[in-house]
Amino acid sequence: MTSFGRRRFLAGVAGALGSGLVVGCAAPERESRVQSFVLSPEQSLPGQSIWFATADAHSQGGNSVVIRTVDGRAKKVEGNPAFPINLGKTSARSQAGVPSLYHPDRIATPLKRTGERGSGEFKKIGWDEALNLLVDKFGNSSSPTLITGRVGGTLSRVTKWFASLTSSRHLVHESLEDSTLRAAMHNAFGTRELPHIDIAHSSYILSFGADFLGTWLSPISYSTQYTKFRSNTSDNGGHRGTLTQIEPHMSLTGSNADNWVHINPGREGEVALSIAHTIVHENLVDPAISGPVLNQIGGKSALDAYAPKNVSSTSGVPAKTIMKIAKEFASHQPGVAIAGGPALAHTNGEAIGTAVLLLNRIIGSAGSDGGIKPNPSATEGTPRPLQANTFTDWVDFATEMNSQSPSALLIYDADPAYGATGAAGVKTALGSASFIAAMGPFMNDTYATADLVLPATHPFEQWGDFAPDPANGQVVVGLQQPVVTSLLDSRSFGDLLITLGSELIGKDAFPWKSMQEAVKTTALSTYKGGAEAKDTTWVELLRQGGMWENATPASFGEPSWQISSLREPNFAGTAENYTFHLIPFETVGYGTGDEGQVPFLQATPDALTTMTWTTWVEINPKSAIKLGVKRGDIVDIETPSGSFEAQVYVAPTVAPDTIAVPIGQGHRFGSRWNKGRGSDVLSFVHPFTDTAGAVAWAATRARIQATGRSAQIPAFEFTENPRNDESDPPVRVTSEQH
Amino acid sequence: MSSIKSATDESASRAATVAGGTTISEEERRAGFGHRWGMSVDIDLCTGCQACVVACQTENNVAINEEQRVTEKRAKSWIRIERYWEGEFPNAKARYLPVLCQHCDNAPCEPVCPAWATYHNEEGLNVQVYNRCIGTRFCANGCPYSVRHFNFWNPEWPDSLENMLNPDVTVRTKGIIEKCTFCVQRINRARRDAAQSDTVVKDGDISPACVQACPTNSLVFGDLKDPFSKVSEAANSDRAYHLLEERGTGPAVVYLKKIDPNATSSSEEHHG
Amino acid sequence: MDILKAFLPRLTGRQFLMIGIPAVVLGGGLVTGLAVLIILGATGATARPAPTQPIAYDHSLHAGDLGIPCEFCHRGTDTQAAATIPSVEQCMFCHSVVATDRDEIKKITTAFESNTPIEWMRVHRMPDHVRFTHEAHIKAKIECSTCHGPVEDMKTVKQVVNLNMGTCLACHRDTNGRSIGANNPHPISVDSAPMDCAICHK
Repeated sequence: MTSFGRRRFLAGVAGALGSGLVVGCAAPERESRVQSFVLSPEQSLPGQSIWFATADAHSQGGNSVVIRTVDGRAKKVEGNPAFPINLGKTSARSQAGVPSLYHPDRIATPLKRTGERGSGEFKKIGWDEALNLLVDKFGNSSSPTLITGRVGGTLSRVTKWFASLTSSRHLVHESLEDSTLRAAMHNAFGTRELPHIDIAHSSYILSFGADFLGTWLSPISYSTQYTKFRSNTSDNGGHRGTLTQIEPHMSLTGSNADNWVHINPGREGEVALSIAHTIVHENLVDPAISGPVLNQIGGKSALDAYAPKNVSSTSGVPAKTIMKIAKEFASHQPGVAIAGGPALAHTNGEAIGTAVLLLNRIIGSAGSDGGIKPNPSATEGTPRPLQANTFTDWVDFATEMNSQSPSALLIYDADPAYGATGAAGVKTALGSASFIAAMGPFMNDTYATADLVLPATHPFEQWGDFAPDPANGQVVVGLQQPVVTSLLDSRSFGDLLITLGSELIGKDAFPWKSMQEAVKTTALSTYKGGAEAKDTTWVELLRQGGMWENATPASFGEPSWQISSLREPNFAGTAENYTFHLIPFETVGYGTGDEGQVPFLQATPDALTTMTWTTWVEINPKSAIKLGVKRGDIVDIETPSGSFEAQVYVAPTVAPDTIAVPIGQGHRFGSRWNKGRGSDVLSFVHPFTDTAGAVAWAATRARIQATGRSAQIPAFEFTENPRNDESDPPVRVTSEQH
Repeated sequence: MSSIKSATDESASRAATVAGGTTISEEERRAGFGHRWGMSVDIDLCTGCQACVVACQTENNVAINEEQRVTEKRAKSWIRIERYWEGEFPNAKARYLPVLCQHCDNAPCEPVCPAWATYHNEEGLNVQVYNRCIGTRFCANGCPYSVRHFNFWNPEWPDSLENMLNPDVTVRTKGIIEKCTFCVQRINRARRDAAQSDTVVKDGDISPACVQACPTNSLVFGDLKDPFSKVSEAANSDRAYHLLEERGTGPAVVYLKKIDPNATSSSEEHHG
Repeated sequence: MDILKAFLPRLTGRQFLMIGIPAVVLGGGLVTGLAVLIILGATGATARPAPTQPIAYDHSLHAGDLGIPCEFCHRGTDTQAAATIPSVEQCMFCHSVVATDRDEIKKITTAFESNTPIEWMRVHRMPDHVRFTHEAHIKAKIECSTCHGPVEDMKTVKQVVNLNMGTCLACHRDTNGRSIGANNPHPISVDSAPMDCAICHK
């Protein structure tokens, strides 16, 4: 640790003056030394800022950023103003790209396990030894498995090539996978691709649980469009757009809604169909539009069971409110209906998603401006990120690992031992693998079980390309280039696979020698315009951060779903024994897990609670009184799958029968800032799945018990009297040490 | 309220003449009026996403707010998003209010500083000269917006994180006050860039880190003396108001009221 | 000593070394100490001796006898904040041919061939909290020697001008509002020396 100070400068002057009076405070000599470059860098002079366009470190749908560098060090992330997805804008997570690049706990060299598997004890080795080990154990394994995060672009092609070369099975992991949404898209629109949600031109957004301004799909893009949505320009029909959010826990998006409507968990499908019922029965839209759609999904009579008065008692949404929303939605056109987050995380999640998405067809905004539109397919060279395997796939994988011949694993950018998949058996299954190699920038729960850990380059240090998912209705290719030289002995995953491939098969196994060459060749073959020299084109593409053009989108298919297939939700735990619905939620700062490595994101206040650094539980004021707990109390939350601790935050964000807990903490292994901090709520949800195979992470009930302990809460906000708690120790204002 | 006080009376009258109708050329503006930097914050567009908060910290070398600092209420954040609750569940409404140094024309922090460490410059910035500050904290006590942060400790950066420090911004030491500067380093940079290409700074050339990050364009920065700047347009909006207007501090930050179609009249008053 | 300890009750051993001893020394020789500090303060940084450089580069030869303009080596003075230390490559522009047999030149050749940066010692240094921009001063036609002294006469460069705030302000006051852009009423104009703290203090 180094601390800076003016004193050091003053001491420095004193030292240089030759005054020997002040002992122990001489000018640090390193501050007087100045190194010259050996070769003059082409574009720069020392001390000059240079900006490079590259890919955002934290995906959030895929954005392009511009990094300010000075003397070979990255300093600041800015949005790339040319890029059509984020239009020069960023998020808290994007801004944390530089601190994660220079994170002191990044894996610096290859590590070989020395202790028991899972103990997290490693020794440093060189790359030669690491590669030999990898070729020996993974390359020569009879049943190798490749586990990656959602790799996309050229890297996904390299990964697929390597998987077929080594006859590996390839599994893709994502903490909160979007398979339910994709299944619902398939039912409603005949495609598994994520759509372009044209918020900018919309005049009404009806969102069931989708936190599109905070964490859902492509939040930066949606936020930039939100400006237009809220303005009264002609873009969206000449008046400020209306946002209605229906959800069991108030999200960041919900807090910005004009109408925030509380709903009992798992009942979103019923309310969506009830809105459809009102629209159809009161002839709020032209029957020529709604009629054909209804006929495809079971006919007008299938909606009869969902009259507002029928669903109001189960859903908790008054019939009057349902009818009001239906009228507003139908009269503010174009409008868009979306579902995400906890709305889809139920045993009937796929049906809920489908019912909501079909509202777009019923009011006739599907495929048109201001509604939900299909995206054109990505380019051949730069495909969208691979779709994640479902929770069911991971449970099957764990069962197989335990029963059949153990497999050798190569893991990149994934943490399946953490969260819901970890608790569902993957963590245990890793123990029986014959060999585990894991590559990433940071240690995590999965990597701690590995035999070999490899340091991966940070996104700002590697070559790559990406197709944003979802895109904005255009064909978009983003380019990623190293903006600084890595200070660590790290390599990019693509380059590792190419090296490994040529070791295993021979030098000409892959058409390209490196990721740089692969990305450049791909980009230049995709680029159609102009007849400039290749190198000029390449530099120009890198300068603007990629290429994009308008394209004819694919068209939506017909719906393939029946209203009758909407089922009642199942919940783990009975209402008698487990009083509360447990709603886990993603925050802007912690994300789904890896973001919390960066101290700036740990300290990013949650918008609604201003909480930082810990796992808290949001409790309605009425239930807090009933339970006898107050702000700052530490409670024990018990679900049918186990119990964990959280700190009480009393808030009007949840109903008296609901509690909400942020995900992303509770890592056993990680960096100094996220290791052993808080609780991993997703590992305590019951492993229910919906029909799409995703885990129904909002379908668990819980009960709460006070532990009797209490602590000052790490919230940014000041209460009226922040220190009215007697247990609160006086605040230390000076440090013990100098 | 909608009008914005100018830095000096003389320039105020000149600015008023201009606002009266005639267009001024770049040349005239360069010759006469100088700048009055200001910001507008459209509450209707602020979603509470915290992009500005983290952008500010990485731009301005604001120290890591360790958990201990947050629980002790000693965390530093030059811009913060305050959240206010209106009503009870299920009709509770969260209201966001980004608060940063208001760069007041009549700043309560300035006259109390015994060391002249904080003063008002000709362009309307409330400047904190770090190496003059002796840490009396009088200014922080006087500030009605609680945007001045005292360094109770020296900031600690792990060696590798030193690489991200912005060379244009001093790392503040123990015992002094720090606060939002409107990213004065960016203003100076834009000025030098303009001088090099022999032009003047135009509206939109300068973006403090928070403004640049803000994904909904809730934050807008510009010259309040330029009657055609976006920020002047915002200041003349009928939604415009100042924080704690009744204190008479004359802030350079203009807030635009939330538009709430379902608001009750009492909640409207909170904002006006 | 005991009295001192009573005033500094919580100092650990190491802290005492850092604070206690200097305090004792200063306290013991208060008059002398103050006098020294006052003298040092008055003469300021000009008292700094020339640092020993890793290569005995002779400015009086290059800038004086040979008349090479400063900007030829110190690039960026007219475009950016920093006047830069030339790269080894830049020395090699001439010294791959000129005087290659001399010992000092061989140091450059070795550095270039082994790809090792040369560690020069700073002669002029601004404190961390100062934002100094060479470009602005060069553009305002301030001579290099105004701040750096007659470098073309120095065999070994040392600091001769007292670069403290007083020096800066004396000059800025003198040229404020009446430099190149005559009659410019703009208080912080691009072509008049500004007096605002925020321009230089960062």
